[in-house]
Amino acid sequence: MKDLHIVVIDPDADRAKMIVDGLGRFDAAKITVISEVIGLGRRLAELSPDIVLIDLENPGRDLLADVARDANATERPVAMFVDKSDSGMMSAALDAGVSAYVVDGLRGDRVKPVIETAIARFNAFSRLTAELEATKAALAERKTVDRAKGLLMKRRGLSEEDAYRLLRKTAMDQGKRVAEIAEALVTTADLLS
Amino acid sequence: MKLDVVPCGFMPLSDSAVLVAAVEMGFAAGEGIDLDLRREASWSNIRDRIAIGAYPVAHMLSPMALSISAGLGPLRSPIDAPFVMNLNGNTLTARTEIAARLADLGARPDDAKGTGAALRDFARDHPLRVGVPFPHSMHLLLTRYLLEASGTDMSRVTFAVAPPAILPEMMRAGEVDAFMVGEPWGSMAVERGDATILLPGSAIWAAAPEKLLGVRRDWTDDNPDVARRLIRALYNAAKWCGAPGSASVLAEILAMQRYVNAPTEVIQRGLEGHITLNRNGDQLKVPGFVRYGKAGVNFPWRSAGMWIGAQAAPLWGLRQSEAMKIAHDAFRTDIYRQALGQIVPALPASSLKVEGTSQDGDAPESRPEAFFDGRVFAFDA
Repeated sequence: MKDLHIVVIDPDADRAKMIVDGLGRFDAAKITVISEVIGLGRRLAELSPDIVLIDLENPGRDLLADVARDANATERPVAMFVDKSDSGMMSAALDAGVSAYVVDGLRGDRVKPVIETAIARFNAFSRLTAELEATKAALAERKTVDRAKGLLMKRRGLSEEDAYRLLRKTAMDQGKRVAEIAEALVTTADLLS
Repeated sequence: MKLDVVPCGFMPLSDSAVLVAAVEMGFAAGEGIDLDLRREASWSNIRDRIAIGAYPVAHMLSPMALSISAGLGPLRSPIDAPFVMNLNGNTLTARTEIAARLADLGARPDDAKGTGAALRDFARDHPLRVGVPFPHSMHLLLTRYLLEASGTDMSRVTFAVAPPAILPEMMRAGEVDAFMVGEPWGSMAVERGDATILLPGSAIWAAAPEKLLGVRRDWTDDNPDVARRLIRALYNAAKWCGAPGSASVLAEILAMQRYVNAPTEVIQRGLEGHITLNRNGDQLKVPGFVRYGKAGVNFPWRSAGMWIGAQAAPLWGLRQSEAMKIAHDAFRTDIYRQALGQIVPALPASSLKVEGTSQDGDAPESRPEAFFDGRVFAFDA
């Protein structure tokens, strides 16, 4: 059986690496990463891959679209999306943010594990990104709460503990989060200063 | 009041205007709808996300409604076109040195016949590579129509595809000689100094249905009331977009990063039909360059859909009768009438007209609906 040649089109080097690592366990596969959109069609024609994986935010997706050609109709490097019959997998791929193009005639059992791996890696990457952002947001909130406490300590002569208690009580009374009350206080103080 | 949330994909183009105005000017909320606009990176994404059901409705190239319904993408899904968002709005733009050669051959921005003949003559000596934003687009069909009707040897012509904002870069990289694209991306290429606008799309067909509201048929069946309110919101938004005096505000809204993300002044050129053609700053006024919300613009003429079906069928490997039937069934004049019958005075009595002429037989010299070569197309239901 011929080795699978997989092309990963992704300008994000970190994500591309995660995908390539994931695909590494298919030891028959040759994997090429492309990060540039311009010239993509020509590049793919040269490489003649069996499977192309591309993220949905990549404008290069439309470059893979089948064009009505008057000449050189055979020039098309890639043919179809996953498996027309498998809308479940297509849905999972779209949710994960990846799409796959597969040459005509490639057996489904060879394609499926590759796509599944790509979906899993995309999801893992999104999770990592989301966690990173949550951490950043939490840090930012903590800074705001610290500033709000500082304001209360200075203006009202409260201890740090009492300042926090006041913020929390106000938040509970108003049905809001402590961070929101702190934010409002900081904004107001900035406006008045 | 709780609003009905309707997710809707759109591409960063000036003619996302009706959707954007529906949100930003409050027309959607006024009909009890929270139109949740999501910017997409490619037409392929819109095709796949509406086909799989992630979007019930989307900003859509007119031929896409037919190609998705015909199952030309990965998934077949019946898509309806109950509302035309705008007529026209594209430019055919070329690399400046190629535009100069075409001008020597007789190309003029206000003369589609002369420009068509120049392209035909140019293609005799050079293969002509044209970029379009999607295979199933008016851009491809209108460019082909111009070239074929001008007697071009079509074996000399190839088309390449890239999203609107990428096409100027494709041309810059030497991948294509010219491209047909929706605004502001033709004007943006001119602004960068390496491109010249050859022709406004409206010069090829003055009443080309450019973008539709594409709607999943099963969604309208399940939510007829929401669908009708959405169409009313878009009708009012379109009327606002087309009103004299809206252009500068509309341009400012569209310029925002979350929509088109391009300079206000460049967007405004297309909205006002006052085009800067080249780096010398030569100007062209094009009445009807893009048409929003004027009489007849939003009505989804079944005959206009059938024109698209008839032109696209051989390219898509469909029988002509089959493609025209899909088009006839997708252009939902019935839904348009149900949604707007109460508020729009004098809806057309018929759902078909002779394409290339106007509905009420304007004097031939004004010909606001004409094809550049004067042909007309009559279709039977």
